[in-house]
This record gives sequence, structure tokens and C-alpha cells, in this order.
Amino acid sequence: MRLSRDLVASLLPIYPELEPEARAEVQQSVQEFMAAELTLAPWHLRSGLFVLGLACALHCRLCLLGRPLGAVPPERRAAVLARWERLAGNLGRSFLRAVRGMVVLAFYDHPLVLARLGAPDPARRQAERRAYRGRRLQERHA
Amino acid sequence: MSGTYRIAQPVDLSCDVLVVGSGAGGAAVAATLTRAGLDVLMVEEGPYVPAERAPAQLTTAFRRLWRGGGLTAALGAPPVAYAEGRCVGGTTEINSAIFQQTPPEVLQAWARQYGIADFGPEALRPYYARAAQAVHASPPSEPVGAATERLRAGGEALGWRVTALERGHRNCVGTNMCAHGCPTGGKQSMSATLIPAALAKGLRLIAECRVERLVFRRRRVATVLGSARDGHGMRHPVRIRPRQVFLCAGAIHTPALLRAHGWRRNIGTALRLHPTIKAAAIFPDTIDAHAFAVPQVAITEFMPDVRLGGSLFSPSTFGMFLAEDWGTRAALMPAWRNAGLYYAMVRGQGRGSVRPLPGRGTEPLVRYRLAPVDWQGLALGLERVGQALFAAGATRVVPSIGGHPGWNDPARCDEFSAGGLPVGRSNLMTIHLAGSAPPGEVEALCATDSFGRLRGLENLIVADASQIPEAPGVNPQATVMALAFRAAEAYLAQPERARRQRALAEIDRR
Ligand SMILES: Cc1cc2nc3c(=O)[nH]c(=O)nc-3n(C[C@H](O)[C@H](O)[C@H](O)COP(=O)(O)OP(=O)(O)OC[C@H]3O[C@@H](n4cnc5c(N)ncnc54)[C@H](O)[C@@H]3O)c2cc1C
Repeated sequence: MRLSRDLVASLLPIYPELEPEARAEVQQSVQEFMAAELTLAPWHLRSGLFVLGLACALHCRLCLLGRPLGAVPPERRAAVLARWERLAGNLGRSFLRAVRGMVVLAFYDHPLVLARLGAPDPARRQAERRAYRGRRLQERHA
Repeated sequence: MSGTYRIAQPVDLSCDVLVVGSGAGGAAVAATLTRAGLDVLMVEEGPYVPAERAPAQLTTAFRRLWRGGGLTAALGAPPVAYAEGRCVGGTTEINSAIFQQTPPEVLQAWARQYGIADFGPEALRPYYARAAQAVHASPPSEPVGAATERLRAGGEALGWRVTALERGHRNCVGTNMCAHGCPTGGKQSMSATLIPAALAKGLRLIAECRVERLVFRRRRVATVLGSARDGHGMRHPVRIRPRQVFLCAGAIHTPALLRAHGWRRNIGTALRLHPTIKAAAIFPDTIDAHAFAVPQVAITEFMPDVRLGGSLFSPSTFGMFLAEDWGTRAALMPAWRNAGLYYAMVRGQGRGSVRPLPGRGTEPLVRYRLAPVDWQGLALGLERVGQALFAAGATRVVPSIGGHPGWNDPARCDEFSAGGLPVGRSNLMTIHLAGSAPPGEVEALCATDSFGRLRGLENLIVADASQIPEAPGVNPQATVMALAFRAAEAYLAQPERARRQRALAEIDRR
């Protein structure tokens, strides 16, 4: 679980820039999403992700001489993960791609990030579109 | 919805007909049989999520409405990611509701090859009409937005046939949240159409109830065992004694369930799908693809083998696309308002399989292998998507290939297909599954008879996407519904049922 936390922190996009508290909140929600996804995934994919996650954790520990991924600066983390991608072959690359895909999806799905991008808040957009459709239906029936 | 139940204790039920699964197939069956006055019970593994409670965020939708949290894939080289819904209404709750009929020549070819009786464009016409009416298949009622217009303009500039797509909707206002479970009720999914209609005619529906075991006696399904979740997440055993079972669990779970019980002949042996590869386009101006419905035209010039179209768009889906090669593509994220997501989809000639995972009950293991011609089609399709998007003014087109830098000018993509797609780096997906229990009288190829009756069992009929014999080359929901209406009617046409149906129709008329 620690690796999962450190991986999320390492893979979290840096654009758009967020206040530290907002970033921490987003990171927490991305982590929760990842944890939930892992419990929902089909058993064989979950097992595959688990085994590859362990291998990745081992790789990171070895590269960092025992220190956890989260304890080193971002550039160093990125370098260690890039090395994993180079060395781990297709499966290892697919693992990191899948994890990164989920992290990036959850990051840009978060209302704080969307606000920063200038995108509409999803809950507000839903409410606004429901009301709009209601008006359109009334016009039709009038 | 009244008639929808949640189970709070172990139950023992009986019914005329049990429908397993509430998607396009199950809902069409339930609507037909309840109208005929039968006592129908439907069980659905996923929850009921009405439009007013549709999740605002895609991440929440993955958890609540998508099977496996959206993390499902057919294993192979490369793996093909696929998606299914798992909720009342099935995959129709997360799909884009594009309504298309399988081309007549494809239907005719299937009728011949599989020996399917009463099958073909003429025979299916009334069922397609019923499906179109049920979901109100119609053109857009609101402006379609620039992501659609660019695709249309690109195709037309190149002299290709571009077809406007009808969708199953009533006043869709383009929220672009089809994949969340439509929040406005505009999309005419099964939970908005046939399921309420069936409930009004007496359907009993148990949500969050998963069928796990079938018990056979004398060539019949005697008992169906499952478990249902109550409001607190506790599971309770459910035991159902049906006269007839309609298995409508979709193209993956229907064969998985049957094979787990020893029914194997031509079941789960020829899974078909539409291998699809995406491309992102960056335009010089804002197109705000997130603010409109999914692109509502397709380039159909190369159909039925290859179709080019557009996908749902949000910052998160765009980000996920870029994440395939984040190192080189992250810099495109700030251009999200100028971006659109498009795809090339082929009518796959490859085959896959569905097997229950050893030791995991009915949980499926899905495999798929593309045919060489699929690879050629995808490469050509991707090249043409690029050409169309450049013709529409795109300044950059990035295909879903790991390590690919993307094209900055049309000349770069013109020769692309000659080199073929790199198998190990191409990211493929599909949203259309079929063919895992094909119907027909050619016993060497088919799992069921022409109307979905499983060979060797007297009271089990398959009515879902597994009955579409092969990849249709078009969106399949209309065909799933048409075949399910047809299977339900064929069941009713059995002599004593027909008498009862006539009597009930008489009462209805009076
Ligand atoms: C993202 C996406 C977009 C799509 N867009 C379109 C489109 O625009 N147009 C189109 O025509 N098609 C589209 N499709 C495909 C279309 O939705 C499906 O082909 C169609 O819904 C399949 O119908 P079905 O009845 O076979 O299965 P489903 O609709 O998947 O229904 C099967 C149901 O059975 C339930 N079930 C499974 N096993 C059990 C069990 N053991 N016990 C109880 N219940 C069970 C499942 O939970 C599910 O709800 C799309 C698909 C996806 C994923």
C-alpha cells in the first residue's frame, strides 16, 4: 500500500499547479480511487497488478538503496520509474501505463483540478443541464 | 421504480420466466413477455442508479456502473481493453446510444453461413422498428458542436461518405456524460424505457442479485441459485424455480455461466469484437468537445469493414489518452479545449474465447487474437482518421501508439499504413462484443437454434449480444434488441403460450 501511495504521488500530473492543500486533497482522492479500482478489477488482472506492483517496489528499493520512493525528490523518482519502464519489458511497461492511466484519469476528474483548468464543475453542470432539459421539454409541450 | 426489490433475507421464488440480466437483451425480453401477461422475474447483478442519482464524476461511475471498475481486458498480444455495464439497464446505461442496423448484406451472409431460419433484413425489419420506437431513435435535437462538425468537414473535404448518426434519445441536451449514466434522462437507455414499461406490466426486478449456479433436472433448468445484496451490503441467498430462463447476461457472462456448468458446444469459442484504436486531434481553435454530445457523424465510406468516428470527451478521458505516453504527451494537456478524441474501428475477423477462470466460479477469462487483416484495417483506418482530421484543420494528430510522436502535417500520416501498426505498442480497445453463442441450424458452428434455444436444454433461451453471430461493423445495441424481441416472440408463439397471449391481447383491447 505504501508503494501505491508513493506511486500515486510520483505519477500525479504537475499541470495545472495546485495549492499544496488542494494537491494533498486531490492526491488523497486519487489514492482512494486506485484502492477501490483494485478491489473491483477482475481477479486475474488484480493478481497481475499485485505481482507487478511488488516487482516494481523491489526495483525502486534496490535503486534507492532501501529508501522508499516517497522519500526522494520528484526528479529522482521519475528517473527510477523511467528505468523500470526501460528494464521491465512489455509487462512492466503495461503495468506502469495502466497505473498512470488511472492516476491521470482520477486527477483530471477531480473538481478542484477541473476548476483550475477552467472546466465546469461536474455536479453543477449536471444540475444546469437537467434544468435546461426541463425548460426545453416545457417549451415543447407549451 | 415500483416493482424493483432489494432482498433483505434469504428468498425462495418461482416465476413463469426468469430473465438474467437487464441490458439491451434482457429488457427487450422482459417488455415483450410482461406485455403478454406472463409472470416475469428479472435479476440484475448491478445496482439501480436512476438519472437523478447519476454520478457527477467519471471515477464514481466506474465504481458504480461499470463492470470491474472499467478495468476489463481480453488477454492477448496485445491485450484489448473492453467495457461493459453492470447495473440495471446493463451497458445501455453507459453507452452513447448510437442506433444503427446491421447492413442487409451482412445479415444475409450470416443467415446463409449459420443457417439461421427467419433471419435477414426483411424478417428483422419489424423488430428493428420496435427497437427504434422503444429508444426513440432520432437525429440530434440540439447543436452537435465542433467535434462533430470537424469530422464531417474532414470527411467531406476528402470526398468520403459521411453519415449522420441517430441516437436513442429524447431531447438529449449534450451533457457528454453518457458514460456516467445519463444524468438528465435524455438518453433512452433501458432503465428509462423498456424496464419501466415492463414494471408497469408486473415485472418483478431484483437489483444487486447475481446468478451463480444453475441446477439441472431432466434436460431442464430446475433451479437457479444466486445471492443478493441488501441495503447494508450483506449478501443473502436467492433460490428461484422458473419454468423458463432467458439468459441475457451479455456476450461475456452468458458464455462464462454456461461453460461453468458444462455447456460448451460452440459456446465462448468464437468471441467477436470491433478492435478499435483512438487518435487525438489538436485544432488551432477552441472546439470544447466536452460541452456537446459524442460526435454524431461517422465516416462510413469504408464500411462495413472500417468505420471512423468520434468518442466521448472530458479532461479526464483526454488525460487518460495522453497518459499512454505521458512523457512525450503531457505537454498537450493544456490544449484540452482545442482537442477531440476520434477512432478507427474495424469489423474484426479475429476470434476470442470466454472461459470460466478455474476455481473462480463463473468469473470469465477472456482472450482475443486479431487476424492479420484486422491489423491492416486498423493501420489504414488510423491513417484515414489522420487524413480526415488534417483536412478539417487539425494541427497535430496523435495515434494511440506508445512512443509515437504524433503527426504534425498530413504528409506524415499519408504513408503510415504501409508500415503497419507496431503490435506491441498499439493500444487497442473495444466496446462492442458479440458472437460467443451464435444462433442457427448449422450445428457445427452454432450454440443455439435459430431463436436462441440452447441445444440440449428445454427451457433456456439466450437473448443478448452473444447471439450476434459475428462483429456487425456497426453499433450493436439495435441488433441485440431486435434479436431479443424476436426470441421472446418465438417463445410466445409456442402453441399454449400463443393462446394465452391472444386471450390477454383481447383483454388489453377491451
Ligand atoms: C462505452 C460503451 C459505449 C457503447 N456505445 C454504443 C452505442 O452508442 N450504440 C450501440 O449500439 N452500442 C453501444 N455499445 C454496446 C452496447 O451497449 C451493447 O452491445 C449492448 O448493451 C449489449 O447488450 P446485452 O444485453 O448483450 O448486454 P448488457 O447490456 O451488457 O447487459 C447484460 C447485463 O447482465 C448482467 N449480468 C451479467 N451476469 C449476470 C449474472 N450472473 N447475474 C445477474 N446479472 C448478470 C450485467 O450486469 C448487465 O447489466 C457501447 C458499449 C460500451 C461499453
